[in-house]
Amino acid sequence: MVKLLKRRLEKKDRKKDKKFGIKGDTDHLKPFRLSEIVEDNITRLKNSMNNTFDIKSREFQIGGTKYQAAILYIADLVNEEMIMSHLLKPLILQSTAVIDSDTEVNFQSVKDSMLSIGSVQEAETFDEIVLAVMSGDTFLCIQGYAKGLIVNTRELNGKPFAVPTVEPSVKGPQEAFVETLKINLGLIRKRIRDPNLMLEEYKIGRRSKSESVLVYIKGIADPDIVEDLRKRLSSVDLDMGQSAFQIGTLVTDRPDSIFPQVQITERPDKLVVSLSEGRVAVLTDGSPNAILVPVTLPILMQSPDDYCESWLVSSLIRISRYVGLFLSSLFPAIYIAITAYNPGMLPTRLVLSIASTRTGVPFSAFIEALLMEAVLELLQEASIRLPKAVGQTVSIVGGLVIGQSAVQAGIVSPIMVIVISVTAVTSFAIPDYSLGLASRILRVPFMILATTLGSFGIAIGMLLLLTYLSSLKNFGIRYLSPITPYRFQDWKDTVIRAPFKDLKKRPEFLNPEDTERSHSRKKEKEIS
Amino acid sequence: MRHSLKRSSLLLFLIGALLLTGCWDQKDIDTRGYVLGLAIDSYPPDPQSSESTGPNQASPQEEEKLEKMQLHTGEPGYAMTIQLPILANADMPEGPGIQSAEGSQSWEITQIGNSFFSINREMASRTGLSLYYEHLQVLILSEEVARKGLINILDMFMREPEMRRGIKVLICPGEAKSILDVVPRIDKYSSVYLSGIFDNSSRDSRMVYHTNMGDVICALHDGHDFVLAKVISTKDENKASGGAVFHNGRMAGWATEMEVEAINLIRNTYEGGVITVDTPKGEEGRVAMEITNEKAEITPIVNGDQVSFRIDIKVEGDYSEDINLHTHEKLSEPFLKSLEAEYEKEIQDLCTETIESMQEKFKADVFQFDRILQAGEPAYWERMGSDWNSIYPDVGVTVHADVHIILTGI
Amino acid sequence: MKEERLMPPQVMTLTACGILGIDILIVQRDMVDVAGQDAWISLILGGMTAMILGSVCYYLAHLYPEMDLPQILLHIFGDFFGRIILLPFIVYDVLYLGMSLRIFAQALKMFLLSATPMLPIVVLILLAAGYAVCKGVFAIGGIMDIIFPLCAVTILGILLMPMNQIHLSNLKPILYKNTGNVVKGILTGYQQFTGYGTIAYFYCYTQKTKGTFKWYLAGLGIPIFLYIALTLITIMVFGPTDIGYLTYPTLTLAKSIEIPGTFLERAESFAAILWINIVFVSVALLLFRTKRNFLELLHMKTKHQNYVIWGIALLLIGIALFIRSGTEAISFFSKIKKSSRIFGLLIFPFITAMGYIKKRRETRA
Repeated sequence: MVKLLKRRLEKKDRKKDKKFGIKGDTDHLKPFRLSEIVEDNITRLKNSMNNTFDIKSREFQIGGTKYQAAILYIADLVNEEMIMSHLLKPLILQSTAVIDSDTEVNFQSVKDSMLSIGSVQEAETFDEIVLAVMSGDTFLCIQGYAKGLIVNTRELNGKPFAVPTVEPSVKGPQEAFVETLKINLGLIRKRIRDPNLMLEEYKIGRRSKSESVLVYIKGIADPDIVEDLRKRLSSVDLDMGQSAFQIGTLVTDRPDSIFPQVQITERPDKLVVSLSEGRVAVLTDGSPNAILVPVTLPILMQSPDDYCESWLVSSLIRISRYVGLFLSSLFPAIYIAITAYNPGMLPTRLVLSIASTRTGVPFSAFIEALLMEAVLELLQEASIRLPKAVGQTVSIVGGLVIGQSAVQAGIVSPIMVIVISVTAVTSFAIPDYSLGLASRILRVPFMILATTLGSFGIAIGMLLLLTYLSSLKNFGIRYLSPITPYRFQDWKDTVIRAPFKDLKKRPEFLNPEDTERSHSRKKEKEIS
Repeated sequence: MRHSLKRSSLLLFLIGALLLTGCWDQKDIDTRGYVLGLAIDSYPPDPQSSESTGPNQASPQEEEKLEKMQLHTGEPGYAMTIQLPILANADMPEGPGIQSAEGSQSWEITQIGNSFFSINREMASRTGLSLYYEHLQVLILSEEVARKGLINILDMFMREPEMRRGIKVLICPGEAKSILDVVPRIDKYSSVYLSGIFDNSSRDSRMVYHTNMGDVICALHDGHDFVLAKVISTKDENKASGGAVFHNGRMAGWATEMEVEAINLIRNTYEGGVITVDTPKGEEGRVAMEITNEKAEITPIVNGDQVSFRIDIKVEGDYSEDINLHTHEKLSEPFLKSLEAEYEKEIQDLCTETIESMQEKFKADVFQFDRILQAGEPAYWERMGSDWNSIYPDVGVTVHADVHIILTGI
Repeated sequence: MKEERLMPPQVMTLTACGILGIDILIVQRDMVDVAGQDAWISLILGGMTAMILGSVCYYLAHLYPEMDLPQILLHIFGDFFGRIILLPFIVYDVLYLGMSLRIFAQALKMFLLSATPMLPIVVLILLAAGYAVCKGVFAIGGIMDIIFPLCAVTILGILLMPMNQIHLSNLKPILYKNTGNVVKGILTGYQQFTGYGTIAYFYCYTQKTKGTFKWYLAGLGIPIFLYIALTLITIMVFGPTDIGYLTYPTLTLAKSIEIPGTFLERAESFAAILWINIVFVSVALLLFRTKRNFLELLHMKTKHQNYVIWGIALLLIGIALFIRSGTEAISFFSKIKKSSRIFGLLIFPFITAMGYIKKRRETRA
């Protein structure tokens, strides 16, 4: 009986392994080899890397002879200085030493004595070449030879990048995008060395003509989404783009919703992971933010830190974030509804203690809450604009002194101060800043509903909100996927984060073309 | 765009109009008067009631002026007293009016009338707080009121949604108001203190634990008899011990502490307690056993038109203490076995005496044998059930107890 | 972009939400009035009847997978007679909806908001439901997906927490000379579960995969199980005579839960939130059905649906507030529920049979 089960399981494994090879690597390029004609090689190599706009090639003649040669490189990744002075200069200007006027150019001598670069390798097959070019090396081929040279011109470090300010992370990489498009693309290319990474250029804005680049991974992202985005980007009619967010509003169906319809991020690691899930990004020159579409509420509640800890810890932290989202809109409203309408719900001692702290307070619970909420919002706005030197003072003054004194003066009750402070703090537990703002805005309408109709009002408010969220969709994907409609497969990475070995499939709701992320079972068998 | 703007503004206007007209039910938490305890006495007070502490002699005339109200119909029959906490005097750590805990913590208001709901509303003429009953802890009835009949007066407590089914209903000999006047030493409000006593039922089985409003209502509707807890008090202490026996919805008399213990044993509501026996062999000492587990099974035995019951009580306990015991063989097997036999005898005697007393003195089936017959012997019940009141006093009951001593301490 | 379809698990949540409704507050009293302490047996048998008849309804929807019920009726019986047959559905739905709202408002007034007049309550819940219906089927599906598990878990909580107050003896004697009443009660039990007809309105939007029927049965089974458990527990806690005195036994059951020491010591208002959600989903679904009925009856296009919805809403407000007295409202509601028996036992099977015949004629021709 056990044997029967074992055999059936093994059959299932074998079937699965046969279906998919591991996509995304360059094995499929192995059979292609170089030809002796330089133009051919360059064209075919460019095609195998999908002809993205940042692949540059230069054809030249070696040392004034009629021998053609060409180099191929990716502009974002190479150190252009090195190419110019150590690769092109020797070959074009100073190579007369090795060439007799009518002998053929010697491949070996080019390799040995003309290139003043640290690492030079021969290559014949496309897979090596593509991998090397994707990593920042330059490819050199010479007419008449069916082999080429891979020259190390990688840009290691030294170019400045920023530190993430809006989306800090505890253990993740501390790199953020900068304002220069080329550097940002380099940051992305560094992390994805896949020839299927597609970059498409657009110029947005009649006066600014800022370059925008559409980034996605061909073979993973849903082609419908990509096509839709292409149409929208090419039909943007704008004078000058103000921010990445503005471009974002131009590509969504509901630009006026308070819930963010595009995800704005400054972290390349977040962007790269989203690309591998099947999402599409838009980067603009001059903006340190990238736009990610499509977006859903659970995606906005994820943070890169979740993948740096063990799954149980991460799952609990994620759950606490959802609790934070709930509390940050509803806590003052719940407090008002319970105390003003249904004090019977609380334990007797709690009721008596709350009531006794409120005796003497002149305002009703709603006015108190509104006052404290107004003060809170002003404090938060003020602390954004303050110079760093005074920032700390204001928070101490605002938080402690004003709150404490208001209680002592008998204007608000201490419980209200607690409620409002907890609300303020929880709104920052939400990873996405725009979503946090949305939840802050919802506080006051809920408070109004609570004060007029008690818990019934809150229930109606939540139902209306839920209806609104259920009806939002962008690029055909519902805002609340994958919580609804149910996709049980995707629940492994929504509110909880299952162990990595269970996260083998890409999220279904994004309709990726290639669904498997990894085939670790096969690898484990090979290792053991 | 224009169309949807018009539509949404119309909707907004509608909603706004709706919501702005009212906050009909809103009452801030400190504008409610949380009634913690309620006491009902009959009016005018019966001068012959025993153990009566008598009405407050200090200023009877003035208080009476406030307490009386005009009635639509009939004569005033009941005096209802409520206990409100005085929040400003409560000893709270922080608050606008920080005062130390001086002054009395609670305010007892009495009002006289003949319908509790109208009495309740009349109190609004004496306090600005709107009375709120969801935190009512105890309801105390005086013996007089209980004897007149419970079903007569408990209707408001059944009907009003604010009244919960967990309110404890207590009976006191004498004036019910005096229970609320108690100023407890360790709690702020006597109602809370009183209600807290009943949480100790796992320690003392002589209290009637299941004395909730819900149980009372169920029993009254089904026509069963029941026992409610008895409360007596001094100036600053309450004691809940013993019970009041109810037959046909009226109080029939008082049950002593031991009788209540037996009733708890038989009705499977025994939460924990102590039984003491003299040692066997006629020596001087006594041994107390704490009962940890108890289960009683009542089996009806039907014989034509006769019915008798057999009660099997299984008890498990711990040997807690012995007094004046001079033998050395304290923990030997035969000694424990003989102790167990003593306990069994004690329990059996206690239960049999109680059953007889209930049958003869009060004719009240507080053990709810009728429920068991209804459930287990429906044929018999159908035939003879309507005469249960007359059959019950002659029903024979045999009690068997089975005691095991489990732990012995050291 | 792939066309959006309802997934099979949503069939379960939609059916379950269609069945759970205002009934959850009064089911015990209805049943105990007829069958005494064996009400739960009637309910089990009634539930099984509902499952069988529900499968009949599913079959009807399955025969014409791209049409919903009013379209099916018009298709089978032709324009004129189809509309005649559609009329009783409309009348039933509208009356049921209006009285549901009324009873909901009454219960809310009794337990949560005592001074608020009924008009704002009815208007607000209609507003929320109407908004949901305006947003379309898939928005409604999304809402059900989230609300249904929440409600199911809360109901389970209400069932499990009074466990320390149950008396098994309240159930006895079982079936003692009561079998006649129990049989009478089967139909009463069945009428608590009418709502399975909602599938006929949604089947056209679902993904037609093989396992959808299993999800449908689950969607029928869960409310049946919950109602039975609720009735059982209520009888065990209160006893059959006491239930006769309670207007809303479920709410009283929730009130009797006390967990000392936790933050929410008395869970009754918490349970009230639960039942607001349940009533909302059932009202939304009923409103959707009525809208579709009206649209087909009056031969209107879908883009005018908003006017129809708000028109129906006004009509419903009138119905809900028409009857002045509370007890009259409750008895009128029971009469309406009784009439649902005709639908289930006669009309639906009749329509299914006719539909089957017509389909065979079509496939042969």
